[in-house]
Amino acid sequence: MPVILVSSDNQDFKVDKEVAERSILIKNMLEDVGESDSPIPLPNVTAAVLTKVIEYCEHHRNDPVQVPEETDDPRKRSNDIEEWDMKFMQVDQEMLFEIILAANYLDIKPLLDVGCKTVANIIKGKTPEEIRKAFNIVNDFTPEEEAQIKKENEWAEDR
Amino acid sequence: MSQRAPSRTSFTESINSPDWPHRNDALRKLVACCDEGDLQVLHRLLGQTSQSGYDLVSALPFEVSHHLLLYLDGMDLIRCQAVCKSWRGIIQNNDALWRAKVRDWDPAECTLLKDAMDYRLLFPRASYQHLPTMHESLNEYPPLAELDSLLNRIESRPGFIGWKEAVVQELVLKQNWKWGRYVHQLTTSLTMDVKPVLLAWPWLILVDNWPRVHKISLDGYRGVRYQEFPQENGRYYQVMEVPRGHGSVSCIAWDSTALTVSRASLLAETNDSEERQLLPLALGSYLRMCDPETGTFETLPTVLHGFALHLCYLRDKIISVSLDGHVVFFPKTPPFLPIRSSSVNTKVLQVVAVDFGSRTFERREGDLMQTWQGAVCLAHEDGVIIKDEQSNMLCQVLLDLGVKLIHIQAIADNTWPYRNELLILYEEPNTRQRLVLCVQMGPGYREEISRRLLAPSFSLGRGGDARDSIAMCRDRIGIVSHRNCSSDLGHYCVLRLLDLKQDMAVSTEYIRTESVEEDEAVSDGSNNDDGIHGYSEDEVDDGGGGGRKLKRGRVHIRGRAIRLDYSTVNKAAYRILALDHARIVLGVGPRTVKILYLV
Repeated sequence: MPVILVSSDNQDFKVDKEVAERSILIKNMLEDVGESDSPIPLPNVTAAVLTKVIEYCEHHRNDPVQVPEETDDPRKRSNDIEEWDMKFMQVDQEMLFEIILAANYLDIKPLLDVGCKTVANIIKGKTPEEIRKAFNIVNDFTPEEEAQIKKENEWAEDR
Repeated sequence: MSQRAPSRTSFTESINSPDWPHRNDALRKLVACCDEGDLQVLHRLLGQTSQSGYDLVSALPFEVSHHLLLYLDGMDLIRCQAVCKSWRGIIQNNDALWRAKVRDWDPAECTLLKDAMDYRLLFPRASYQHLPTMHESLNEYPPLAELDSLLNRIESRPGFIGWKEAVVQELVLKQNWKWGRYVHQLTTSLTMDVKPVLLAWPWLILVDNWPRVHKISLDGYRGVRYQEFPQENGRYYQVMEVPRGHGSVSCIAWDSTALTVSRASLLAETNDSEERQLLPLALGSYLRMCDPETGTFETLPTVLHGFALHLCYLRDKIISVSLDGHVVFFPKTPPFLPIRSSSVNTKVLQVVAVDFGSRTFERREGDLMQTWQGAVCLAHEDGVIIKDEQSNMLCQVLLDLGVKLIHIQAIADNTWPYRNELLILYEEPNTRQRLVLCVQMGPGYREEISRRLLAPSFSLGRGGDARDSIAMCRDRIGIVSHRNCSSDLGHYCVLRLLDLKQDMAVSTEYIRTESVEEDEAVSDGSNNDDGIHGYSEDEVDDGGGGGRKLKRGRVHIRGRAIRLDYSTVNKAAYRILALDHARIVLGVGPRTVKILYLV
C-alpha cells in the first residue's frame, strides 16, 4: 500500500508502506494517523536527500529489524560496511552529512550507523592537518594554543 | 536546478530559518542564480570572512556527533581534538565518550582496570567452598553489565583521574611499549644478593640471601610527585626475616586471589588495611608459610622431594615442583597436608597456574569423571604438560624435535574475547633463533586445537648467550641482552620490549601514503637480531628500530631497545627479573633492583 511523503520543497514521493516504515518516525506517524491516505510532510528533508534515503530503504526493505542488543562484541567497529552501502555513500560530503541528519530525524538507525561509520572512516588515521583538509576546516587555534596542544600530544607522535 | 518548483517560502525566510537544510537550499538557489560577476563578488566576500569552509561535524546535533565519535578509537580522538576549537570542545569534555572507550577495552589488558584490582571483582571468588558447582554457560554470563558496574565503582573512588586521562594513560602506555620509553625509575639496593623476585602489583617481593623477605609497595607514588625511594616505613616497606634453614629461599608464591576478598569488603575505603596473605617459601627441602602480618613462620609438614624449584598457587591449593620433577599439591589452609603427589620425570622449567574462574569443565576418562576449574602448566624443555587441579593429566603440548622451550605464558580469559592461549617462547635448534608459538587451547585447556607462529619476522634475538634474561607477562616480552661493542662503548646491555598483541583498543588500521622502503625479508635472523637501526652513539636511552609500515599494510614490528647504562664504577650486568603490563623489574648486579615504570 503506497504512502506519500512530501519533502520540504514540496515534492511528492510515493513509496510502499513497508519501505516507509524503515523510518521509525514515519512508522509511528502512520500508526497515529491510521488508515488515512493523507501525505506525510517531512519539513526537515529536502527532495534530493529524501530520494537517497528512499533508495536506501528500498534496498534494505527486507532486512530484519535490529534489536539494540549487546552482542558478544561490544566494540564499535567501522570496518564492516556492506559493499552496496559503501557505494551508496559515495556522495559529496554535504550530501553525506545531510543523509546523516535525515537518518537522525527520520530515526533510521541502520542508515545513521552507516553514515557515521563512513565519516569515521574518513577521519581515521589522519593527522589533524589532514582532517582539516578533508573537511575544509579552518584552524582557529592561536599559535600559543597550538603549541600547547602539540606539547600535550608529544607522546602520541610516531617519531 | 532551474526546473525545481518554486519554493513557497521566500529567500529571506529560508536563509533565516534555524534549519540547516532550509538555509542550505536557499544558498544553493542563490548560487544557481548568480552569473560570473556575482560569483566574483561572492568569492571576495567569502575570502573576507574568517572561515572559508564550514565545519560539518560541529554543525551536527550533539547526539549525532557523539554517535559518530564513538566509532573512533582513542588515538583518533586525541588527534581530532587538535583540529579546531569546536571539535576540541565537543571531544574534550565529553566524559561519556571517553568512558565508552574504556568500556571497549579488553579488561584483561587495560591497565586502569587491572591496577584497580577491581577487575577480579568481576568474577568474585570469595571462597571456593561456596561456589556453585554447576556449570555457568558463557551465554548466561553478562560481562557488559558487570563491566559497567565496575566502571561506576572506579569512577566513584576518591582520586579518580577522569575518563579522558585514563584513556590517555593507556595510550601513553601503548606508545611507551612500542618505543621503549619509561617515565620513571626506582632503584633499591639490598645488602645481600637477591634471588626470588615476585611482581604482583602493587607489591614487589624480594627475597635476599639472609634470608629476608622484602615487601615493597610500588604504587605509593601514583599520583604523587615521584620521590626518592623511601626509608622503611611500616606501611610501604616490610621486611621479614625468615628463620634460617638450610640453604637459601629458592622460590616464593603469591596468592593473587587473596586480594579480592579483602578489597571487596573495603571498596570505598582507603588502602589502609593490608591483605592477609600467606607467603609460602621453599627453603631447602622444607616449605614454610610466612605470615607478613605477624612475622611468623610455620614449617609445613610437607617434605618436598629434594630441592623445590617452583611454587605457585592454584585456586585453593598450592603446588610445589621439585628439581627431580615431583609435583605436590597441598591445600592453602592449615594443616597443609599434601593431597596429591606425582612425578613428571623431567626437569620443570616453569610452572604456570591457570584459573578458569567459576566455570567447571568435565571429561569422562573411562569410568572416571574428571572435573576441574583450574589447571597447571608444567613447562619442560620439550613442551608443556597440563594437569588439572586434581593432578590428573589433561593434555600435553609438545614442541618439535630439538626445539628448546624458554618461557611460557598461559592466558585463559573469562571475559570477551575469551582467549584460551598458551604462548611459548622457544629457541630453534639450528639457527638458535627465538620465536613465539601461540597454541590455541580448547576450553578448560582440555586439548590443543591449533598452533601458529607469531609474526616470524619478530626479532627476539638469538640464543647462545647465557647472560640473556627473558621475562614474559601475557603478550609482553622483555629481553635483556648483552652486547660487546668494539668501540669505546665496550660491554653494555640492551633491554628490548615487545608487545605481541600491539593493540588494546580497536586498532586503527591504516596505510600511510608515503612510500616506505621494503623491509628486510621476513625470515631474517642473520644480521638483524638487534632491532637497533640507525643507532647513534649520542643517544642514551633510545634505540633505533621501531615500527615501519610495509606497503601491503602489514605492520612489521620490532622491539624498541633501551640501552642500559651501568656506571663505570661497578660494571654490573643487568638482567630482567619480572615484568607486568606497565612495570619492568631489572636486576643490576646481584644486589640492586631497578623498577622501570612505563606509565
